Amino acid sequence: MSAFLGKFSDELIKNAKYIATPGKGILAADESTGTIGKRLSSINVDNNIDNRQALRDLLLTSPNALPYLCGVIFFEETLYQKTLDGKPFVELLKENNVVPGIKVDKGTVDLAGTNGETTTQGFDSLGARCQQFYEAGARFAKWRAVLKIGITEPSELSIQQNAQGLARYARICQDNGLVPIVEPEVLTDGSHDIKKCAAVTETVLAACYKALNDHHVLLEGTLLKPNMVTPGSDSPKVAPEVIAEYTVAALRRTVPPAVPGIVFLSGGQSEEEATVNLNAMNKLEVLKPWTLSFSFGRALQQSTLKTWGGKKENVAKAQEVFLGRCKANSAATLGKYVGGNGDGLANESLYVKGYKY
Amino acid sequence: MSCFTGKYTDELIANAAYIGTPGKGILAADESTGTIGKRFSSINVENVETNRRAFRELLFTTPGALKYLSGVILFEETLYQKTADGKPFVELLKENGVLPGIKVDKGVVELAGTDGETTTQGLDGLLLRCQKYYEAGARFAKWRAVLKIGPNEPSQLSINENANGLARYAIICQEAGLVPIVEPEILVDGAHDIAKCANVTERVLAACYKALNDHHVLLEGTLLKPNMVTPGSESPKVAPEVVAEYTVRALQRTMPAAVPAVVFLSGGQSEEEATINLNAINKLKTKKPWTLTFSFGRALQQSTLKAWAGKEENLQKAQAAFLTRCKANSEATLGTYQGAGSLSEGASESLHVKDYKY
Repeated sequence: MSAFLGKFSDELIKNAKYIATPGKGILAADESTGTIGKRLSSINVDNNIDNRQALRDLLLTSPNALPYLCGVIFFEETLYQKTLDGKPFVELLKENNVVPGIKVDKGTVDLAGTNGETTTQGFDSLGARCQQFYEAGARFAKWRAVLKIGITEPSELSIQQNAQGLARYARICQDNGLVPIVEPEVLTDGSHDIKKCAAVTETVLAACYKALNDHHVLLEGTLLKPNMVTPGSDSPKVAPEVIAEYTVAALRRTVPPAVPGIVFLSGGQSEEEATVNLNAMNKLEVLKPWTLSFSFGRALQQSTLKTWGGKKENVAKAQEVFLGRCKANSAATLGKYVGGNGDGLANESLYVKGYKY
Repeated sequence: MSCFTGKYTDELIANAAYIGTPGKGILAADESTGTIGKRFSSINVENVETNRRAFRELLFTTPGALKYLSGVILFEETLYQKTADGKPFVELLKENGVLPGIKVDKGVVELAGTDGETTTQGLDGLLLRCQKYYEAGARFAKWRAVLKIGPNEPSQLSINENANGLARYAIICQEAGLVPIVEPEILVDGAHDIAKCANVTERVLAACYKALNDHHVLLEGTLLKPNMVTPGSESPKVAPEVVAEYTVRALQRTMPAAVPAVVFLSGGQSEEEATINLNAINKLKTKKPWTLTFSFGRALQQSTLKAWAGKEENLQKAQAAFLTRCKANSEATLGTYQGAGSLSEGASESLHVKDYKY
């Protein structure tokens, strides 16, 4: 095997496979303190530790929601927080067969000499940090690499750096018992068409899998978190079936079957859009040797957040809204979503130009 | 798409998919003049054009055999030859639903500074040659890259050179309407274990698919012709199920689902060994989003050759031997091969030749 099999191999394979369970997906609740601040300020809520805890408590204690989730990604602060009743979040998840995950990157920095392209940092003491997170109960990790489409972008440098970074991160995670989610996000910003997005996505994914192979990463113990293949944000939209076709073709051309599951990011898509597109992919009648599911942040939380508005009396209603999105996306992973599950809020675009976490 | 889509796109996809039809496989009958000479001398037959033509005719006119074949790889001379009745081989094959293929590489040359590693030549004027072959009726091509396992081998240079060569060849073929069979053969020579072979095979295949992506090759219009993953020739053999497990896992880790089929080379395996391993591969219960079939040369022809021995009176006996192997391998692609009751002479004979050169 060109993959390195350390002491966690069996566990990594088992956990990755579980996260790829059809009908389940991931809640990305790993917004950094700065980013969650933006969300909270949009509903006029103060960005303090109690409110951050209250929001995550609202989500994780939503009655009947957890069966639709196989994992939740946390920011470091949240990994050590408890429910309002005093139960560690990690314990609550484990009791409900939801795997706790942890964001381990430290954001992006500019690549000098490029036109605003970035690489992702977070390697210093990454092994030790992963070990700590494992001890705290985390069993998977996430690292977001960002690429953009432009006249000369993504550059070869950006592709190589981000692919190498993802591969190194992945190997270190596996050394410490965490299933790495590999996330090479190609931003939607731009006026390019869907073909351009497909070409870039395929090139980026091919580079990622070559790097993962070079770094002896055990693919059976990883997951992929890619963008869907869509037209640029400044271009006319296309039908979900078209997105499904281009996205699945791109993945078929680049993602080895050894990878058990693909968990899409939602980018700037509205809640409803993301669900409908995921559904179309799962309905597509073509051979797909990995499960296709979700790892949504904004696309699972947006209307829940608005409904809550920071008020205790809105919690139950907000939780119902959250359950609605979880159910909808679960159905989408099975190609069974019938749509219309949500009011105007679910259709609100979540696109922010040049989006930074 | 990062791949090039020219005027042959739909045809390439259709032909590659057809070659991957379950129950069918490829006869590699593309031995160069020099190489077929070695085969002939082993049965005391003169290496002249008429004998080369006669032997290939024997194979292609075997009653009932062609339905087990989706393609036949030909050497350039053979592409233009006819049956004794005057029917072009290409026509005979096409009438029977068999796609003609053509070997387009020009053999290996050494990489200076390495320990006997090689790269493959044949890129010069390749587009024009492929266009000519397409006009002559060929619809797929084959190019053999060779790597070896040793203390320092395969070197990064060898991997990069051979992967790049395969990718260049592949895109040129597609520009000319030929489905490229991508063949990165890792020789079985050596005392290494199966894990080592797996390790190298995975690295080589990963490099190949990166190169194919870099060169904008349409994967849906290609095929892969890899070695099976086995212990080295000087190491103890393992069970077919073990070969199957390591082989399929190596492919799962490197080969995108867009590739419709894998057509294994037989290397130095005996006819029976190759069939049994292919059968085990198809019986394995795991994710296999591509057809797994054969592209055998020696492992389809060995006992046929022996039975023929160059004599016309042996024709039926020889054709019977060939039909047996075709049928056996067809069953192996479906995982239904039961093993040979009584093997033809030569069917279990190892075909390993150290440091094999075509």
